[in-house]
Amino acid sequence: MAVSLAISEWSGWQAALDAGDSNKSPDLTISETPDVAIIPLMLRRRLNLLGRACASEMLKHLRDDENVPIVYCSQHGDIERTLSVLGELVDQESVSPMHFSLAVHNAICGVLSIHAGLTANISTIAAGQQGLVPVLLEAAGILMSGANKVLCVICDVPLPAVYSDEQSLPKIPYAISFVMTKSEGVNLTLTQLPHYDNKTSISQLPIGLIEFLATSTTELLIGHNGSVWKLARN
Amino acid sequence: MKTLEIELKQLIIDTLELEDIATDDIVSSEALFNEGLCLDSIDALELGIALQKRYGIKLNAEAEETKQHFASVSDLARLVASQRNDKN
Repeated sequence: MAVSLAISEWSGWQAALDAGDSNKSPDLTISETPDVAIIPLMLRRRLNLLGRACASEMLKHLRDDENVPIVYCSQHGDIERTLSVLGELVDQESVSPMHFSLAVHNAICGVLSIHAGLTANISTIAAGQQGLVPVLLEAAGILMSGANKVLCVICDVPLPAVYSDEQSLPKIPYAISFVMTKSEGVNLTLTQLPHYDNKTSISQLPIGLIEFLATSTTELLIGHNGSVWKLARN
Repeated sequence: MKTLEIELKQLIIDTLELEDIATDDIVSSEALFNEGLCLDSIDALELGIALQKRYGIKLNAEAEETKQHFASVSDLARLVASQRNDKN
């Protein structure tokens, strides 16, 4: 199976662990907090770190006159809010309506759609640690059904301390966003490899896509559900 | 009543995560919803739970008088004060 696609714009944000951390490339912003100053205060307060990371990157690729479909992917979504709701239920307290409504997997895109006036289709995926392949396939399907471009976003924050026995990535909060098109931009082919044993060169997190696109690397190997996929420049 | 109004303003700021807003920025007589502070329906539910936790006040979300109680900080302060008097 081979899927042809193109990526015309991309960017990423990653939290700075130390004050000295700086951008690895112009496409990857490393900072203490994502920049979402453009979102009005009363709407911005609905977004916590995960939401702000997504919004900061998605807004770089949204044009005023465009109503572009969105594919959102996160392994755990807004896990801090979900955990907060679960804690209130365990303590038999009233559940916070704000946390409950914003813990829904598509809530971040909902807030952003209010801000940007978007009414196009929003798909949300929870597809494990490496959600890049499902996002590319979902966006390819939306393009085939007639859309000219699809705005994709993949994000995650480290699991809260209560899940510390889980060996889960990421260890650093991040969000990446990119615009997928049929042929405009970097033209790529996605294929599933029948066999691949060298696990060391497989990209563990979607953020690897930004480095791949920013450099002249010819291919990116992506693990997903025990299989390996190759994203190669045409 | 002024002390209670300041207390309620701080409760609103903390509960509704109104970053960059101080108690002085909220006018006691100004509308809380739609106009003025521009709070929304989720804020109303959140505020209802906060009032229940802090002051033991239970409100009927459907009742017309609840809308009047939530109209402004002054109205909320009158509600809290009257409930306190009823208990004493």
